[in-house]
Amino acid sequence: MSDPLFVQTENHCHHCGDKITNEKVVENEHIFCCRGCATVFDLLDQKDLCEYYEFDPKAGVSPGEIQRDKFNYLRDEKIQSRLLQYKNERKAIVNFQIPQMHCVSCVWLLERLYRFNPAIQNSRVNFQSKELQVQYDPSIVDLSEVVFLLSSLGYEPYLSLASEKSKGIKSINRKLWLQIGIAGFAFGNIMLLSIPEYFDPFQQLPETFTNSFGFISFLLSLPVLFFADLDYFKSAIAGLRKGAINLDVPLSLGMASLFLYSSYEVFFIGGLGYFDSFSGLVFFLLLGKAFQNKTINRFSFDRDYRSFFPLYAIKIKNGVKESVPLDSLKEGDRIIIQHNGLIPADGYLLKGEGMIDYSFVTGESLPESKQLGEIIYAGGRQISTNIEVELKKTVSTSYLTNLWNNELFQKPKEPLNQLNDQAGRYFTFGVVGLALLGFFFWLPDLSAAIKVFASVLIIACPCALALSAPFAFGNGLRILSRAGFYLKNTSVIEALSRIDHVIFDKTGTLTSVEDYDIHYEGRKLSNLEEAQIKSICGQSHHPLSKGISEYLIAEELPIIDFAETPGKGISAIQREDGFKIGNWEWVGSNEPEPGVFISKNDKVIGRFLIEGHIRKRVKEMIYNLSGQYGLSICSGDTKASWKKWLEFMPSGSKVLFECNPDEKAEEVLNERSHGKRVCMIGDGLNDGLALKTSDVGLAFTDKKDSLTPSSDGVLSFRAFQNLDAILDFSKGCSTVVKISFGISILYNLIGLYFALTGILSPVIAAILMPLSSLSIVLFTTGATSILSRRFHLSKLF
Amino acid sequence: MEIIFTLIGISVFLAVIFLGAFIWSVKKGQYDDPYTPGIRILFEDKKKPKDNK
Repeated sequence: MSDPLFVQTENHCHHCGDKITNEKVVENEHIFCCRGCATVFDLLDQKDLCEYYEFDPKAGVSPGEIQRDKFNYLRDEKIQSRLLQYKNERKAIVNFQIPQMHCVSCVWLLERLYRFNPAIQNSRVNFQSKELQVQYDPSIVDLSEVVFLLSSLGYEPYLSLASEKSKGIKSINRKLWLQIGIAGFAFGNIMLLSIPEYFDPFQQLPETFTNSFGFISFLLSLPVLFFADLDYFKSAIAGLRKGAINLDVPLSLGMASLFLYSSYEVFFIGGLGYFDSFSGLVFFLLLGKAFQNKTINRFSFDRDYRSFFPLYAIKIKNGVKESVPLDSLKEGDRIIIQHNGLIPADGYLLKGEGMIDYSFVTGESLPESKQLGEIIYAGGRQISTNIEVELKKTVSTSYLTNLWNNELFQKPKEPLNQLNDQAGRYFTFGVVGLALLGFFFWLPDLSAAIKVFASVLIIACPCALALSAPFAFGNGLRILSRAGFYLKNTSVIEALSRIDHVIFDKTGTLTSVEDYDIHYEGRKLSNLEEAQIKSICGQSHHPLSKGISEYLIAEELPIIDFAETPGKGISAIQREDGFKIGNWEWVGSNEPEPGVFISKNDKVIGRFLIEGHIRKRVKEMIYNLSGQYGLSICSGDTKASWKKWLEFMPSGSKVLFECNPDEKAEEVLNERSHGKRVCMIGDGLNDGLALKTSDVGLAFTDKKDSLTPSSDGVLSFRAFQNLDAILDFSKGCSTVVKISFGISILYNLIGLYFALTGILSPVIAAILMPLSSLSIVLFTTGATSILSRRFHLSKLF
Repeated sequence: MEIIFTLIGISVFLAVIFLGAFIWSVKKGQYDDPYTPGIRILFEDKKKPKDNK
């Protein structure tokens, strides 16, 4: 199964298959890119599990550094009870989300956890939803050890309070399968019983045949009426109660008249009725629903802020550390935030060096330093060493939580499925009108009038119409997910096709967070000075210093008297030259300007401007969008590069900087109040609110396993680059639906001719209905596939 | 011609058995994950692990 093009060469890690850039680790005749990878290989080798590498040579996931005590908090009963699905003395079942799962090897290894620890009785993977269910014996092995084992193999589970996935989806899917099975069963068997009558235009069959066949058909269609088609009736009634007519109303009308008229025919006139068309109709409709319902399990679209928070906090009480669940924290509690830990609630900094990265909340890409006693807001990430914080508020009353629950931003989105509902409205009035017209036209002859009335409702039952949107958008959803754009459901395509304004977040979306563009302004630096600056910056752990140190290419020189003042800058002496590197205040400049300033012997000589690298093809994409859409940028960053972005964007676009999460959401509301339909694209929790307030909120991610805020869809990098094509494609899909509405109405007109002239027979219905449905299915899926080629989406597969 | 009723009875009875099997399989969760079993079937245990009883 291994890919012949990918050969394990000297330069690739034996475990993860990455190119080795730094020093290599040699062990057991294999080379590895890091200690972590070598350790995993060791583990697998000991247990004789090296087949892992045979399925996919790039299978391995580098585990990074994992400390054994990292998962100690999982020993806590209260925390365990939230995560475990089931527990008795000898058996516990837990479901993990494993975002790193990516290939066949992963499945193979994760289902063989029992080889590492016999107390793990069973482990089972659901690859599509990236879930792992583990069953273990809690009297022998603890949950924390199971998680540690997974993490040391490179599959650290994603644990959070909100990670309990709803069981609801599963039962809905099962119900749909049952409905399809039952409708299909009835359809097939009734069809079989109806065939004699199809070939008997002169009604020569003995009466016992038609009577008994009709009766059996009636029995067979009962479960269809009382189970399979119930959801359509429910939805129609719910719609009517709200005073709206949706597409399910004419469908229900059609189904009801099919069933009632057929029963009337079977019991009072003698005939087979239209039970074949009835069960067939329900069967096709349910198939359409299943096609549309394909959900993208890989992403969770309903995350709120809690999903981003850790499961626990380390509380200090009388000098003793203790892991406690987050919601048991109270005001005045003292907690420890570890390196890279997230701050769960607002509080004061008590001890330690606060260097807080708020990019999560505000989008500001540079970390802020905090002095003792300063307020630290929830959602920040401590990137320096451990700090101690005294809580001012609880998790649920903190700024971030309040913001999230603010009612101002709970503005309802536009109703879904507008195309379908509009069609349903016109259709219902048209059909009921025509049926009444036919009824009165034939009136003196009551039985003929009833037949015409029922025939119109039967033949006009908008089966093909109802299949248009599910198949067009369902296929669109599949095409888009292959192109790297994962939608919450099919109605997002429809909503996208109506968008006329696009708002971008800057940091992390238009620009990359990992690649910096560094650019120097000021007096030209000599080679010696470059080496001096590089050496001094190399001593600091601040991300900006590191960046500058990597940017300058020179030899490292020894330095003395290195000192770092958090939040200001660094100073050091190299060969009798005193250097100060830091913000404008630190070096003694008079003008407040952005950038990292350099002063040599108390004279400012220049500054480094550092900003995220603009992603590839972004400019072209924005230029293409500017013709059809209004554009805005809402960034949480400082105004430093505001001018540059104003020039970067096409004229007429709005460029807003220094926006808080709520200001971003307000901007979205502002555009919406001007009648615009807004699509917001952002990447972090700081955009979460704006995503929620917009008509279509899309989360951007460039990693396979990253957390995305709650959204209507997830854009990968390759899809984001081609946003212009994707928006065009969604417009195309809506047009396809409209055209196929036209086609299905054409079929209805043909049917209506038979109905109104009173010559409709079960055979005609049995031919027309599947024929119209089939042509709609072929047309919509074909047309959307052609569209994907036309807009070059198929290149992205 | 009456034999046709017997035949229909048998065929519907058989179909009901299959429908029952289908309902059972859905309730057992066989349709919950349509993807992973396809991967799983490709694995083979070449050699029995040494520590296996």
